[in-house]
Amino acid sequence: MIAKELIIVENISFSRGSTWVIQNLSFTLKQGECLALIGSNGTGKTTTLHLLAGLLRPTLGKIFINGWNIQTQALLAKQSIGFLPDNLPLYHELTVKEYLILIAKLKKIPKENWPGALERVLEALSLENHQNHLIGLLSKGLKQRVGIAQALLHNPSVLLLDEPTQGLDAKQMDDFQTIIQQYKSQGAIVLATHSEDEVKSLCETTLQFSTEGINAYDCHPCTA
Amino acid sequence: MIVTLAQHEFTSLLKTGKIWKLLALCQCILGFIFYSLMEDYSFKSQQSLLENNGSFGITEEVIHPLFAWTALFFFFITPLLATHSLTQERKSHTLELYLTSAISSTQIILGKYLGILVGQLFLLLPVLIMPLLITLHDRLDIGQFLSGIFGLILLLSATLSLSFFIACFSKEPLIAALVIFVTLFFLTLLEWIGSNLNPGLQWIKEFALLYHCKNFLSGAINTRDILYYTVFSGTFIYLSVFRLHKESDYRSGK
Repeated sequence: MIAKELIIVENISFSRGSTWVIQNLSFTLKQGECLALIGSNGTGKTTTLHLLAGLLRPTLGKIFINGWNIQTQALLAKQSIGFLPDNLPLYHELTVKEYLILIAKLKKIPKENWPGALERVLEALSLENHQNHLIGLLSKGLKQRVGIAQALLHNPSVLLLDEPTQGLDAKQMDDFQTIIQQYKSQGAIVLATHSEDEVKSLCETTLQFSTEGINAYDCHPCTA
Repeated sequence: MIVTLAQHEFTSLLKTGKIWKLLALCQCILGFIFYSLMEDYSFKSQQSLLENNGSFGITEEVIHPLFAWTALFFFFITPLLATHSLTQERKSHTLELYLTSAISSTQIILGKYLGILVGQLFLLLPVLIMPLLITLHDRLDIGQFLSGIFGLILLLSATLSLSFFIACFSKEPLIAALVIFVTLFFLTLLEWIGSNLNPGLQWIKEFALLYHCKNFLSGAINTRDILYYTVFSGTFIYLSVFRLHKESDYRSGK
């Protein structure tokens, strides 16, 4: 069976004012593939993820998520996206369970599937004992895990992760890698990271961002 | 989805404790105003009895000014609630949750708008109990009272829609709240500006926010006033939706 192309990036460029942050970037990702975005801060990794998530609009080029154009068919494309931004989108006044129920509603998970979905992510991220704790009172590592849980809750076919292991200890990082390995067969992953271990263990392809431009490694058909 | 967002918005107001502080402030200030108006009314009515000048209505003397003060007081509260909803969410990056979900801009704005409107009504409710206390000892003009409430609700929904539109642009809650307050103040001032211009330019006061509430407070329900507030609210809700729809362009600096 031929794996479906879940992310298609067609020659995108993005500028802020007169500065080009990304120029002529193209790649495709199929189900079961993981692409790592690596490079120093300020080189365009987060911008690329925001473009893929529909938070930013490319100056030139097109992005297709699960076959839908993220600019013109945004609502359809966004149904397939699970996004973990670098600044965690958490409501500190809610408990972990209340927050995940809110996410389940936002992601339009049918009500009868909430218990199963919640149980799955809480167990996978070892959050069962914290589900009734206020998010504002959790440690940084636990908050990060709640952030990952919200991205995985609706079983998205495209997972966009911006420095997902930030704030996690060694064991939690191993657990995270196990979760992502399990998830990988279901969809495509784009991961912005500084961790070489993560890249080696999770991703087959790499885009190296630098101030001089973007270099593609083992990425076919990536062009930059 | 709109109901889900409205529910979340309102419960978030309750859980962060912001609304409870505002409620306490609202009760202190408007309670004091109500007490002063009652004392003033009591003094005036006694004097009128002594001088045999006939009686005058408690609704006109107490309720009308109380509601006018309430409307003014909400000009301070509404910016805080609107910025809590939109600007604060942008600052704390929780807005990205909505923007990366399959939810339309219309659903986001309407959900948030309704949630905050319920929050405003929650703050307004205890203020409405004060006039009802009068019914224990005196007769209240129920028609004027209900018309006043209707006018207040229309005014609050209009100020909230404008506040939402301004809050859509900012990342700093304090700055957004200040801009909203200045705008509301200016729109109130239009009545005074219009009254002081030559007769050909007096139509300017038709755009003043409080000007259209006066009839309601006096007990007269005028379709022109209803239309003003409906069009005002509808326009700024539409503009807020449009603005949020263009959020990715805004973030892209385009």
